Amino acid sequence: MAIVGERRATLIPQPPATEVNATLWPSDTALVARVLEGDLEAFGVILARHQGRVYSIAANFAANSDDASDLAQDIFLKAYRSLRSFRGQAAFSTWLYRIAVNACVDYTRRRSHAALVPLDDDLLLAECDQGLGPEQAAERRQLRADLARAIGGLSTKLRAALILHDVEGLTHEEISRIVGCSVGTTKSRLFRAREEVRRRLAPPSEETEK
Amino acid sequence: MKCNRARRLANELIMAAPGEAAPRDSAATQELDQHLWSCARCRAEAAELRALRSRLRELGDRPAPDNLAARAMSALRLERFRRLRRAPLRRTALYLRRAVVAGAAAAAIAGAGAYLARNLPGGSNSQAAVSANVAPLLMEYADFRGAQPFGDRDGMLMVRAHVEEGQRR
Repeated sequence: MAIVGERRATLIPQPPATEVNATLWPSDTALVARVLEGDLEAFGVILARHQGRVYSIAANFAANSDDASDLAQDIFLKAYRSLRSFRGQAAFSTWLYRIAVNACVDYTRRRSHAALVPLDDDLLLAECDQGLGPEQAAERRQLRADLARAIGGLSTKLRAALILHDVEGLTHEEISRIVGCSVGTTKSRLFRAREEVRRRLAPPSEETEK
Repeated sequence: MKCNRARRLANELIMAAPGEAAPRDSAATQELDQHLWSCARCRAEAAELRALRSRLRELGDRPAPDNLAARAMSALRLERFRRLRRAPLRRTALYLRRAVVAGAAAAAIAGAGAYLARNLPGGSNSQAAVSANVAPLLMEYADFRGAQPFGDRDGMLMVRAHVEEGQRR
């Protein structure tokens, strides 16, 4: 849990705990207001703040790193265009991740083959080979490719639930607000998604025994 | 505890996201631990889940490319520039549409007045009478539409001049 906590902190930079200055570290809502008044640079701050998580979500749906970048950029463009529809009822991140998930689901529908091969070698190479020997790196790459393929075979609803909760570390409540369903439905989808992934990752012999 | 319940509980507890562990979970954890101690199959499944959890969390460690923010901002600036460039054209089209509608309405009113003047008994006197009745309406309309830009205002001024000439006769 500590690992995920640290990761979340790096994905969404937080203000210094001791001195939270509204001018130096404006809230997302304040930044949105500035963008709506015509300050485009304020959107740059929003972008820098959320790009890590948005890219991570996109990369788990995209077929390769280029698609992941394009998808993440597309998500921010969509967010900018529909900024007036953000009323501040939910957290800005919830609103943004809803756009991200919808864009990713659209992408998956447009490219049905993306569900079969979710990650390409470039993406895996870039991530896995840091500080590992060639054999270890190859093994780890294979494991991640298998896992990504197993996730890619899920339906978009199960996939979104699994990525948001088990990969990104969001809570059931956050996911239910993002996806627009009850907490119970989210839990049920997650359970089914994990069962499906475990079944796909199981060695063939074990699978036939069942 | 039965195996089905243990599986559900293991799913919730082992795969919990940060900040999801509620106080009641400590009791549930103890209950699950007792079951896992006695059931080899559930113990194996729990181990599988723990392995899956760490592998899934690794997938989230993907830093965004360095140029993502710059690319997105460039795309935004371009889109904004295009929108600003198109804005005057859209305004002109809107004004032209309004002018055409106002012109058509004015022509219809003037035409109706002329028709009544020609067909009512009394000749030019009746034309003057009709003009006198229609004039206030036209004036009001001209005042209302006079605020609109382009040919609309000119059209209304012509109508006004026409009506005033009729009144003088």
